[in-house]
Amino acid sequence: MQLDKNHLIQMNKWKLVCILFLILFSLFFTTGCWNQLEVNDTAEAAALVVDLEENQPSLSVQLVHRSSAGESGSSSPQHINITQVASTFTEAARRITLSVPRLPTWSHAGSIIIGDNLASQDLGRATDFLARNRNIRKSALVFISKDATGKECLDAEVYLESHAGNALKKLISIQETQLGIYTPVTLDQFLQNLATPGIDPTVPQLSIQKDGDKNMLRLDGTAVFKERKKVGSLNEMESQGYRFINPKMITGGLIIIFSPLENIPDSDKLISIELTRSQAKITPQIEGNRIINMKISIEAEGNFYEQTFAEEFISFDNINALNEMVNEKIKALIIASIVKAQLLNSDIFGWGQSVYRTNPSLWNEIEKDWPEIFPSIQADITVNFQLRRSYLLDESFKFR
Amino acid sequence: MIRITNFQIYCLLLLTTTPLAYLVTPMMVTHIVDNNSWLAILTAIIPGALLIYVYIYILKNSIRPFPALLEDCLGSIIGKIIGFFYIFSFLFGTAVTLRYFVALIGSSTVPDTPLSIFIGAMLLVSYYALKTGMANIARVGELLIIFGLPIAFFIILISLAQKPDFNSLLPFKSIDFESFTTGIFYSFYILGDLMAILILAYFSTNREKIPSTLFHVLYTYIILISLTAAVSVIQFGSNYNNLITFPTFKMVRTILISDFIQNIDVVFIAIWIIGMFAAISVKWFLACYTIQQLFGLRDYRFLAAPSSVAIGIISLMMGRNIIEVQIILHNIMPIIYSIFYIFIPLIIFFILLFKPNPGADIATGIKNPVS
Repeated sequence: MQLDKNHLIQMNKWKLVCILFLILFSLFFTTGCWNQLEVNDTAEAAALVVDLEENQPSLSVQLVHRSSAGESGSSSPQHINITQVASTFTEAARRITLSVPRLPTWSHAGSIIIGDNLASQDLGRATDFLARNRNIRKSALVFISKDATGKECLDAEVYLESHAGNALKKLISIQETQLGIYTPVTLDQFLQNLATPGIDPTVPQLSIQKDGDKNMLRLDGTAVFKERKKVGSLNEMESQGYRFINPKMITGGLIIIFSPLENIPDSDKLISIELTRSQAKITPQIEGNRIINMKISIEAEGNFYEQTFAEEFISFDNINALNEMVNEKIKALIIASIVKAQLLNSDIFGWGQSVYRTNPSLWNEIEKDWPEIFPSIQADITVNFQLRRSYLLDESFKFR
Repeated sequence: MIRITNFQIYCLLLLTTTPLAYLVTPMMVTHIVDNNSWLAILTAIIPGALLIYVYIYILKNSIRPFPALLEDCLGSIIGKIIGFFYIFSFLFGTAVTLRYFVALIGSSTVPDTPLSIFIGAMLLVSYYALKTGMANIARVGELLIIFGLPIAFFIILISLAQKPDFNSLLPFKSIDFESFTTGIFYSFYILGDLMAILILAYFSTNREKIPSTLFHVLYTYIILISLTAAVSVIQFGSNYNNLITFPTFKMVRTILISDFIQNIDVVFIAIWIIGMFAAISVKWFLACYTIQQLFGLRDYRFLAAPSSVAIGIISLMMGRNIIEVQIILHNIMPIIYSIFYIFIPLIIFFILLFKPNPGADIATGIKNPVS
């Protein structure tokens, strides 16, 4: 019996030793995975530029310099921009390591700028790199440089922000809620539109504006693509109209209309309407094997934000007239974008896709001839805008 | 003899069929029927139910479990030869599951880690599970389903909230009959894994309820996989979806909640790895159990060590690159599944239909699904 007890104690001791050994051994695995990367050995990429330089792929990156504790008061630039030209984009990206002793973490790049050169020649040279590379974040926002190279855009400054890469995301999101002109496009959406028949992609453009001796970056138009090439661009008004036809709900924006009151001089009769939300529904009207038109119905809501004249305006009668004015304004914006897209022969609204979804057999018949059909398609636009709030004044300001 | 509950059998069967299908089936079916992939998967419930009926009928009419029932139906020599081939099919199935798991991890998560490390680590864990016995794998499976299944559905639900375009599911009628049938087959053939019931049923504590357990597995599989297919099409559209190697994984990667919760693929990978462990372990168990039964051995557990070498080598050798792995998955696996898990059970079904075993009801305790 004593022997058995000792044997049991001996066994438990061995078990304990084994468990302790396993715990100690498992400590080796806490050092990280096979692909471990020390933060000190990396450089955060804020933005990525793909372009062509003398017909060679060029890749620029904005690397953010994280100052250490001792450098906190330093006035040195907080980022560096590096460009490499090589035979492929991947090679250009990896050639950056010839001059930077850290590994750029591409997945941090929240903005991707496509150079005007590349966009106008052939996007096919860069799409595979952008789609296949697991380090390029597909939720990054895409921009196109206008009248400048991508690298020049990266070198330009943005008010109040230390580097353009991070500022671009804020820039486009804030303008969307405040002004509602440009539609942000993620890399995934861009690639999806490139891969889908019956829809052509669009991308917001960036241009450089002089402010004294500084080059400042600003959003300036929307680039329009046809298949793999940029064929033109939409101006502010057309971009705003394009945003309204987006089948996804849009929120935020500003609409300026003339007052319907007749006793006010034209220069003073402006009213600002804040758009709170708008939803478009696009249905192709098909009769037999013929597309009659595209029926576009818009349901929108907004608030009375400002009037630039002193006369009383907010009344039950005027509200209906105002709603009608806003309807007309939205319609005009939409027509402007349709006219431009048809002029450029680029189906940025995805009407071809709508035809396919409604009548796939008809689409199979007309898909080849779609470039000839699209420019002549008529749009039947119905807008139903409803005014909701008037903020802190429920009538116009009265002077006594 | 070990005993497992019907819920544990439900968990084991679901874990055998779903982890690989969750990643592979929506992609394969979307390649064939584009935006109607979810419809094809949903329709696969019909052949799935018929296959289950075949398995139930075999169970009801056989005295001995698989692979011994092969000898009862086909004669001793042919039964043994076919049983011998089944060993390879189970080992191959285990190796393919392991290889595809490694392909995902290697392509999108930790590409620098050698394949042998993943394969070795996974085999080590499954080997240990197998050594401790089927009951332990069943208990782990139970926990996995309780925690993992709601998370799998939750992930789909969150993905659905990421700027969905429900119009991507249109048009409904654009597919030709041939593509749709192929799509149904690709959604359905993985259900051949349910053949494990021909072994697992004999360990059940409540054999009468086995048919309803099988149907619950079928419903869960169909709902989960068709939802996954639908959401990936809603998210990316069928054309872009067809370009992506792992659409389900990409769906998880694009989840962004309130602009600050993102890259939650690590949660998905963690759960999915455990799911794959269970899938590998169950298929491996089937291989070991078939060897034991075929050669009249006393236990199956000691077979885990030698068979692990075979599985490891097969999975390392089978696909030198992702294209070869895809070819195996798209072309070779459906053939193997069709022959071993659908066609041979069908032959046994017809044999039993015309030459039933007297007293089989009493032996198996499973009632005829028709009666």
